[in-house]
Amino acid sequence: MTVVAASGLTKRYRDVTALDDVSFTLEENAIYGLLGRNGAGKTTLMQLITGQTGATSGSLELFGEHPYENERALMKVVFIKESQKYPTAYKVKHVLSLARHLFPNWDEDFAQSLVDDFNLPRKRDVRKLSRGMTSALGVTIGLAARAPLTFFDEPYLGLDAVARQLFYDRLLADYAEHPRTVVLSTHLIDEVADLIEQVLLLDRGKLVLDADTDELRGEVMDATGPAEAIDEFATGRQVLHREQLGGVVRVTLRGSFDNAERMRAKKLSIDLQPVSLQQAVVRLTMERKTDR
Amino acid sequence: MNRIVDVARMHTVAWVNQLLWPWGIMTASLLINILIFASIDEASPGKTSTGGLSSLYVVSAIIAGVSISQVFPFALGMGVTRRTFYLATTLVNLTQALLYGVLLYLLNLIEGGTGGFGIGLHFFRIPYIDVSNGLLQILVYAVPFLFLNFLCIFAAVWYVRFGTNGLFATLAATIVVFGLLAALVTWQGWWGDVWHWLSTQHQISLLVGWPALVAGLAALGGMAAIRRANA
Repeated sequence: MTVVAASGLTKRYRDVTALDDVSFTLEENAIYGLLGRNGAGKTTLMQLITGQTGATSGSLELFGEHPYENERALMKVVFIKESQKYPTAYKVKHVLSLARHLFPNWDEDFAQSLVDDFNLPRKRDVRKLSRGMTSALGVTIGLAARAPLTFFDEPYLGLDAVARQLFYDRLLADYAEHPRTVVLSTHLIDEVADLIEQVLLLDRGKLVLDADTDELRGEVMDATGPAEAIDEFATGRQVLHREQLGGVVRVTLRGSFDNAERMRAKKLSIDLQPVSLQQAVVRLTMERKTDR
Repeated sequence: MNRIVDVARMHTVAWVNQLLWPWGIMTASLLINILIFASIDEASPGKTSTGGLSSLYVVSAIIAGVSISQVFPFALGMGVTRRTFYLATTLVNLTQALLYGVLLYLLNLIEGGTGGFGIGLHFFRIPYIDVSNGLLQILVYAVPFLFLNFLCIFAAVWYVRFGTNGLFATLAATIVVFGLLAALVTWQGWWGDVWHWLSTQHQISLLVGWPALVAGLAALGGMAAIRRANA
């Protein structure tokens, strides 16, 4: 089932085009990585899907309906963002008790166990929480809400490595028991590389990549070898990056690398190495920059 | 409706702040007034009225306005629609006005029963707004809450939607419009007619009818404005 369907989605603020003709779908029961540099349009996209703001043009469906002011559709969504503001009068327990009433699939036991795991002080004013504690509260809500569509917009700010690992572990374990659609917007690509099944890459408002993570990994490779051999091997492939040291050249290539191709590389004395997801994303983003 | 009640809890979950501040400040005002008037010997009759009660209305209105600028972004973040949020806010303010009206009426009765706290003080039974009918008295106390709160809520929604510049531009425009109206009335020598109209209005129209009408218009205006507001 399609959870989100966007077509030609565009959002303009006065002279800035935050999203430019973006089309994609999010399917149910999958973990997506929404990647891109600062200002690429990730948050804008999530704000549009969650009805926080309206699109300039294009069509957008959330559970088959228009999201803006649509209670039925929005009740199936939780959007945890780093910038979430809380009223000054609220304590941690107030936020949790409100969330319990607002999200239909809320699991109170799960929420309480997360509060304990993250050492969240229940009686402290939310505004007095540290950066990391505030993030932990967001993560707790986002996980315990068990919404059919869950957005995490850089939810880890201020969280230490242990707490981040806790978040990833709990997310994966709960996802296995209660499959749903999760969208992780993050800069720490390597940390979530094993989590995300599908990559959406935004660059300056455009969707430049919508690919299966494993396929993408197989498509992007570093090739190192003699300059002539590399040039021959690179023919017919997209060169994302090239650096030369004396007679040795290293290129990042995008294309298909089946067994025959690997054999051929070996014969040409070319060393083929898969690149990390983060490296692939960086190369794909930078390659676009040199395009212009 | 259930959803509206759930969202209404956003305003009441930290009820200590919501209740404590307005009533705490009013209580302080009452105690000071009792002290002052008790220390004035033989206060001349009719001079023992005080406007201390207004603090309750002012603080409530401020809380109503602040609750929009603070709770609205949170509500939107939790997937609540603007419409539901606004209806919940309206529900909270209506209920609160009624509750406060009843509480003030009870205090009015206490003041009457104790001879103005033993010193003939008129803190709750202020001349003109002290009416004989109990139900009417509750309304007389309750409606000004709605009047002030919904004007504040309207201003807060305007702020959330159009920012500081939008709020002050609207305020400036309002001052200009009313200033021009006042100038027109002065120029045409209509003040006599205005006072005459006011003085012929029934006490209940002035205390309940017209403020309720303005509150209703402000509430509808806030509803219309918030539908396109983004946190």
